[in-house]
Amino acid sequence: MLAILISELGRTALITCGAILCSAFVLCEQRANRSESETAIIVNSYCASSLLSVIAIMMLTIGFIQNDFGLHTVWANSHTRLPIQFRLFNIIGSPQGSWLLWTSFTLINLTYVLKFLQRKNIRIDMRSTTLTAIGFCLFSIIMASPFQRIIPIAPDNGIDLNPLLQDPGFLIHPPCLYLGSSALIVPFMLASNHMNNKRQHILTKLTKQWALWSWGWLTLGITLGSWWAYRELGWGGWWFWDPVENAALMPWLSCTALIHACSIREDNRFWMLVTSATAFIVNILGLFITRSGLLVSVHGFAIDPNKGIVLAFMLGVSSIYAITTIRQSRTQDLVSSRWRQPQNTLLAMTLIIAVGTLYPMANAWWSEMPLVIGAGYFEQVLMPFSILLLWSITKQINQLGIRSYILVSVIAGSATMITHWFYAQIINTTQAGILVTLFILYYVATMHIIGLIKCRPQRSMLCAHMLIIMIAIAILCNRYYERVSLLTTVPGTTAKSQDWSIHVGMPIQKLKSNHSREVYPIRMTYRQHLVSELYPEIRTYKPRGTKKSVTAIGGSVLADHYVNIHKGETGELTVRIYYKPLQRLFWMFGCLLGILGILQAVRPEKQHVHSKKHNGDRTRLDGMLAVFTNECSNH
Amino acid sequence: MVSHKLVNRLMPAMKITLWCSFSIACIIYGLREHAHLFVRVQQIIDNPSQWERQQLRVGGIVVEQSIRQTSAGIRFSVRDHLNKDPRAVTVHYAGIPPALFKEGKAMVANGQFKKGQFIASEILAKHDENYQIPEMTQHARNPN
Repeated sequence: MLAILISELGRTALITCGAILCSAFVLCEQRANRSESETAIIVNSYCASSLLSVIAIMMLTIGFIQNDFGLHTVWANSHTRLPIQFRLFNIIGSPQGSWLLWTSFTLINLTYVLKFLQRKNIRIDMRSTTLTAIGFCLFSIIMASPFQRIIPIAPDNGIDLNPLLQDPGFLIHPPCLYLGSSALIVPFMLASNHMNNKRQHILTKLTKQWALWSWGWLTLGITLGSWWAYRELGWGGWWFWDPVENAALMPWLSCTALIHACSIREDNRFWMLVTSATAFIVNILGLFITRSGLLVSVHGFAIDPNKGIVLAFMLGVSSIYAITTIRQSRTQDLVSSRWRQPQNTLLAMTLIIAVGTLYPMANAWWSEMPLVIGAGYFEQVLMPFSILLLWSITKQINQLGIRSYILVSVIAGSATMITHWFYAQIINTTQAGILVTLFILYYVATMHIIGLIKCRPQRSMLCAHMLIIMIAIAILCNRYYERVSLLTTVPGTTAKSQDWSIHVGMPIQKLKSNHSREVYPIRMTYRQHLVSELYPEIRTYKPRGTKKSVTAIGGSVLADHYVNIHKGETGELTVRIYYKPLQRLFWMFGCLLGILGILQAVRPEKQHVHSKKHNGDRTRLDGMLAVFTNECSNH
Repeated sequence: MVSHKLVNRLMPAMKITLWCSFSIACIIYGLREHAHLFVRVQQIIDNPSQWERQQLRVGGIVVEQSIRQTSAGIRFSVRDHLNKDPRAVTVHYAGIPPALFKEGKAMVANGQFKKGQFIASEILAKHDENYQIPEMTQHARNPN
C-alpha cells in the first residue's frame, strides 16, 4: 500500500511539474515586455517545477530501494538480489528513469540561470525554452512514464539490471553526460536573445560560462564512458564509433566550437548563435539516436517506434526554430565575423560524424540493401580536419611570441626518441610517419608548457590546448604501439606466444549476492620477467542467466596490460593479452580537461579591467580587426 | 566603389560555399571508401559475380569444424543464418578474431569478395547472448 502511495506521489509530482511549466508558458506568451513581478512568478514556477522533478526522482529511487516490482520500470531493471549501490542509482540504468533525470537536470540548469538573470535584471524571451522544457516533461509523463504500474498483480521479482551495466563506471558516466548535455539549452537560449538585448556583454560572458560548464561535464562524461567501455566490453578498445558514442561526441564538438566562438571575439554574435544552435540540435539528435530504437547499439535503449516518431517531431520543431533564429541575425554580423577560426573545423567535424551516424538509417528509406559504415570512415575523414585544428592551436601559440625554436625542437626531439626507444623494444618496427607526427605533437606541447611558464594571460586556454595535445599523443602511442596476442590454454598450465608467456592457475569460485565468480589467477611473463599477476573473472548472473567476462587490467602509467578470458564449451580458455601504451594517461588527461572546464565555468567573475590587461595580445588583435572591419564597411 | 562593397558582401558566401563543398567532398570520398553493403551468404552464393570487388559486410554462421589456422591468419566457412542451406562461403582473415568468434555462432565480417573468396579486413562477433546484429534482425523480419 505504502509502495503504491509513494509511486503515485511521484507521478503526481511529475504531472504537477508539467502543469506549472504550462502555466508559466502562458505567462511568457501573454506579454513579451513583462513586469518584474511577472518575471518573478516565472522564475518561481521554474523553481517549483525543478523541485517537483527532484521529488519524482526521489520517489522512483525509493521504489528501486524498496523493490516495488509493481512499477514497470523497477520490474524491468531490478531484482531482489541486485546490490544496494546499483539499486540506489538504478534510475540511470532504466530508459524511463534516465529521461526523468534528464528533464530534472534541464529544469535545474534553467532555474539557476533564470535566478541569475533576475538578479542582474535582464529580461529575455523565455517562450521557446519553456516550450522545450514542457516537451521534455510531457514526454516523461506520457511516452516514457517511470511510474507505470503493472496491473493487476505485481510480480514477485524483477528481471535484473543488464549485467554489462553492473559496474561502477556505469554509475558515474551517464549523470555527467546528462548534466552536460541538458545544460546546452542555456547557451542557445542566451544566444538567441543576444541580438536585441542592450546588456550584451553580460549575456556573452554568461553564454561562455554555461558553454564551459556543459563542455566540462560532457568531457568528463565521455572520458568516463569510454573508461567503462574499455573495462566492461572486453574488446580491448575504448572508442568504437558506435552511434551512441557519436551522439555524445557531436554535442561535445559543437560545444567546443561554441566556446571558441564566445572567446575569440566578444561580439561574435553570428557564430555564437550558429554554434549554440548546432549544439542544441545535435543534442536532441543524440536523444533521438539513443532512444528511438532505430539504431541498435551497445547502449541501445528502448525499442518503441512511437517514441521515435515523437522524438523526430521534437527534433524537427527545434531545428526549424533554430534555423529561423539564425535567419534573424543581420547580414552585417555575418560579414564582420571572422572566418578562419576553429569553430568552422569543429562544426564540419560534427557534420561528418552526423552523416556517418545517420547515413545507414537514411539509406534504409531508399534502398533495400542495409548499409554499414565502418570506423575507417570516421578516422579517415576526420584526419584532415584534426590537422587543421592542430594548425589553429599552433597559430594561437605563435601569437604569444615564443621564439626559442631550437630549445623546443631539442626537447621535442628527445621526447620523441625516448618514447620510441621505450616502445620499440616491444614492437621492433619503425614508421617514419609516426615519428614525425609524434615530434610535431611534442613540439606543440612543449611550446604550450613554455607558454604556461612565461606568460600569465590565457593560462586556462593554454592549459586546455596542452591537455588536448597530450591526449592526442596518448592516443597516437596507444594506437601504434599496441600489441595483441591470443593464447589458448587450459587452467593449470602455461602457454607461450612469441615473447609473452602466461600461467593460468586453477579457478577460484566466489559467490556474490546476484552472481557467481570464477576467478582465474594469471601470471604474465615477458621474456622471462614477471610482468604482472592479474585476476580476470567469468561471472554468471543468476537472475538473467547470462555470463560476463570481466577483464583484469594491470601494468603502469606507461602501459596497461589488459587480459580478457573466454571459456569454451570443452573447458579450454582463450586468453587475449593486450599491451596498451599510455592508456591511463589518456583517462587522466581527459578527466583533468573536464574538471578544468567545470572549474573555469564556476570561477567567480573577474573585474573587467583586470581581464583586459591580461588579454593584451588578444585585445590588440581585436582592435586591429575592428579597424579593418570598419574600413571595409566604409568602402 | 560598388564592386568593393559587393565583394565584401559576397566573400562570406563564397567562403561558406568553399568550406561546405570541401567538407562534403571529404564525406563523399569517405562514404565511397567505407560504406559496406550488408549481404547474406545466400545472396553471395546465388550471384557471386555481382559482388565481386565491392565493399561488403557479410553476416552468417561459422560452419562447424571449418576454422583453419594458416600461415597468414585464419580461414573458415560461413553459411546463411536464416535457412539450412549447407553451401558456404570461404572467408580469409589475416588477424586475430574477436573473443566471441566461435564455430556454430553468428559472426559478421567486413571486406571484399575476390575470386570466390571473401577477404575480410575486420571480423565482429556478437558480444552478448541477447545481442542481435541489427541487420540480421532486419533480415529476419523481412527475409527478402
